Amino acid sequence: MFVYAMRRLIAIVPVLIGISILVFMFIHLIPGDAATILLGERGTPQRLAEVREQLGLNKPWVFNPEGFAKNGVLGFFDSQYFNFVGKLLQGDFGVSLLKNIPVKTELVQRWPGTIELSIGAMILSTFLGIPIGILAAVRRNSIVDNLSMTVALIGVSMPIFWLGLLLIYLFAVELHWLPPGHRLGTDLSISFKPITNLLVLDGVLRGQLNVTLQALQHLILPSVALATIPTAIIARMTRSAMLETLNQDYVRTARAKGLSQRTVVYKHALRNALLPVATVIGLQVGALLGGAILTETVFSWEGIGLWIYEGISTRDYPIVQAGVIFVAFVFTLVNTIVDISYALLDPRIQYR
Amino acid sequence: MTTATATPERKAQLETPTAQIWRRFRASSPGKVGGIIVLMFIVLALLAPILKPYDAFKDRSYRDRLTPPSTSHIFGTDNLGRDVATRVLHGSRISLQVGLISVSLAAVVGTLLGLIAGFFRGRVDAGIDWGTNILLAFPGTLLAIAIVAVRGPGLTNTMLAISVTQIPVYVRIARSMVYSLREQDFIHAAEALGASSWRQMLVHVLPNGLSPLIVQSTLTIGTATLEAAALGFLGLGAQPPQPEWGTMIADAFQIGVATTAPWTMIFPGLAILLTVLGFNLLGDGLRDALDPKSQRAAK
Repeated sequence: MFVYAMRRLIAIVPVLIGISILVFMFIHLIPGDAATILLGERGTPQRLAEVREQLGLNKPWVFNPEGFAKNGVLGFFDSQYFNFVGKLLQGDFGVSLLKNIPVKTELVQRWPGTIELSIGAMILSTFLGIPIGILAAVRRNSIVDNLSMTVALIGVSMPIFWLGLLLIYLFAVELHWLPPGHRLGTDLSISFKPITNLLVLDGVLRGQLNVTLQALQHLILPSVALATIPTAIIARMTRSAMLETLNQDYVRTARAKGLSQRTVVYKHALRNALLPVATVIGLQVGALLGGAILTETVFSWEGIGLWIYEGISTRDYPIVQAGVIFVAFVFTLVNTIVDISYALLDPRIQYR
Repeated sequence: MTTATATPERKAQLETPTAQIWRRFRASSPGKVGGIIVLMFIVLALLAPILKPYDAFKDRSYRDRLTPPSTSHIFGTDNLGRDVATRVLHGSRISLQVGLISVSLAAVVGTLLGLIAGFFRGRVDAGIDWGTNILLAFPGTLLAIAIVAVRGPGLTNTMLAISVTQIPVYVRIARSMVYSLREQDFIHAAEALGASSWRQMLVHVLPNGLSPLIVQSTLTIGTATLEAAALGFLGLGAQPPQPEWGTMIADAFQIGVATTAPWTMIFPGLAILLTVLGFNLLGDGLRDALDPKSQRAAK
């Protein structure tokens, strides 16, 4: 098992290399290099050359044969790509072109926002999706089943940015029940000093429960919007997994023994149906990262998705680059961990 | 093309394959509902230039800005006094175009790569698999956003970006299709008769594995519609004044009228939802009709 897990982890290395090549290519396909964007209209040819020198943009893209003559093997790899990868490995994502602060500083600030939102969405979708799926399977072909599966189908077809706007319109603008966006109200977001930037947690840590309460209120609408598609997928998956186990011989045996419907459904069928469901839930964690960009934009939620969006609209490419590469790394890692845990959980899977 | 999916008891009914598919499709209620929605959508898209009470691009009336739905403007007007209903109607043309072009591109490129990977195996297969894994390492929306951010916003780049994100699915399907068919007798026979690898791939393997590809294409038109709208919403897709649904919602959102004049945002969104729902239902129905084995697992 350990060997299998290690092999799966090693297998992601080529993918990570591929991600770095792809993102590097992206940045170099953008018309105008960082020096031109940085200097804008003011760039004299001389100044441009200086900045290029500073940023290492005058070095060759991949290999540096001249450097090899000067500094040997190390010089050979003194190129834009390998410097980029080297810095990435040290956690250096470069400097924001507009704000002139290290990208990493902002990444560290923004990431907890996305984690908090994803946890909110994951809790909602798991605790709604599984019971709906069970109910639909147990009452197969009933009104409950048809209705919930119709709703689930609408859920997977939902443009979530639009749903977000509808939720804001209904619950914030019309009913005034919940705030329309941001992670805290203006008063608290200025006065409150976060520790981990997971604001719900920070309120507790600082002993300011009003912060926790307000953070939770702000979390509800974006979580609902982000949870829509995962909830629908989890409900559908739970239903089909339950239907499969409910048809198994051992379930019939359990029924024949005279066990109650409740015991049969929850103790016998559900436990075995949960395995594929757990995998789907794990895969949704990754999928949330894609949806987060849209949800965060609609709700002005200060997370990594909004950060990427802002980076694109202000053409601050180091931010876009860092955001995209970071999300891709996390996404790959999460999906691999899900794969490995699936093998761990299911004794029938042969891992070699 | 259906011989691969026909089971012995079905053959006994002396039904032509086409009739059989049609019968199974009609028995599938998601298929029927989806088919009707998609048909409606296509008809509206084709009729949009004829059915125009107002011009989607030019007809502005500054006196009637942001008027709520009424008899003269059934979906109301937007901030430039344009008729929302007309724009939603014309949006179906853009959506249809994006769906068809990006999915066809992805299906052709992905299927070819998958066939090549399955046929030539070895290093070619490993290389294509590596590429597929890299594309799959990004959440779809994020990859599309990154591509459009690099190549610049617009409808053409939107279609390109969406098709790139969808290529991996087709590679996987086509590759597994080759793996399941290549040891069959009729492929060996073709090879023995001197058919080249390309001929075996395109004439013998491909037609026998079309069903899952057709189902997948229908489902990905739904995804493509959603992603095009998402890019439009982020200001990266079709640019104003084009009446793309996501761009229309973005207009309303950016100017801040999405919640004060909600009809500017509700109707384009409903159009997206309905279109995606239609293609998803149609895909489910086609799966019931073309690929009855997988249907049994789902029900």
